[in-house]
Amino acid sequence: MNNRKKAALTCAALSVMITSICLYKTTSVTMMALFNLAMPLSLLGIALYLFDVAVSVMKLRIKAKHH
Amino acid sequence: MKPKHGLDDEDTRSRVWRHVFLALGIIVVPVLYGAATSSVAFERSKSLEFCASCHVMDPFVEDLKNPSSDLLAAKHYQYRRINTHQCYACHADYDLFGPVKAKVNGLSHFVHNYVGTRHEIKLYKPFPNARCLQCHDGAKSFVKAEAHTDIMAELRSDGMKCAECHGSAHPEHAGVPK
Repeated sequence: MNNRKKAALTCAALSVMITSICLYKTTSVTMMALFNLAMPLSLLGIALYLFDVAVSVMKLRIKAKHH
Repeated sequence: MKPKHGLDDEDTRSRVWRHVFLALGIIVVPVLYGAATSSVAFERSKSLEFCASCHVMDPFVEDLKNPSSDLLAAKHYQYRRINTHQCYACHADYDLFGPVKAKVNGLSHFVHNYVGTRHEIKLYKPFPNARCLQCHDGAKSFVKAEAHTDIMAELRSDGMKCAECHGSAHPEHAGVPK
């Protein structure tokens, strides 16, 4: 697993963790964390993952062309 | 037989499965979990306890629970004229997008509260009679009260405010930051 995937997974894990805290106890602080931390982290994870997929696909295409 | 690009079927299949699991872990689970939690959190955010979790609301909540307070909000709370979601019941508009607008406004309050741009708490617009009338209009005690008979049209059109006769709902300086 490359670093981009690891970073994406870490972001997703952190986002799920923060979301769980908000689900366990909803206060202004945990809700603030949900919207201002968990959601951006989740989006960042998705963006990193999609970028990684795009790079992998491009690499595979280049590899296939060379063969 | 090994394909030209050097990837056999087994290799390709394991690659695909790895991507499926990663997509589940990175996209599907956080998005669905986040969406479900937001909806639960929004529902919980209607409660008095939730409003009270911000310290700026302390003076309002203290008055609400103060047995010697005779302000409108306190009476509504203490006599259980509103059973649950006491803050939300009066502070959300009941038109089509009212509840959504109230929640979006609430989110901006979080930001103001935590980034330190805290000001005196004020209503966005004068409190509309419609929020009182959503419960009181049509109630026998309200309709039959002589004081209301002559001004009913004005009350319904917001020409005269309920608070003009019934007084403020909260303590005068509760919203001023200390």
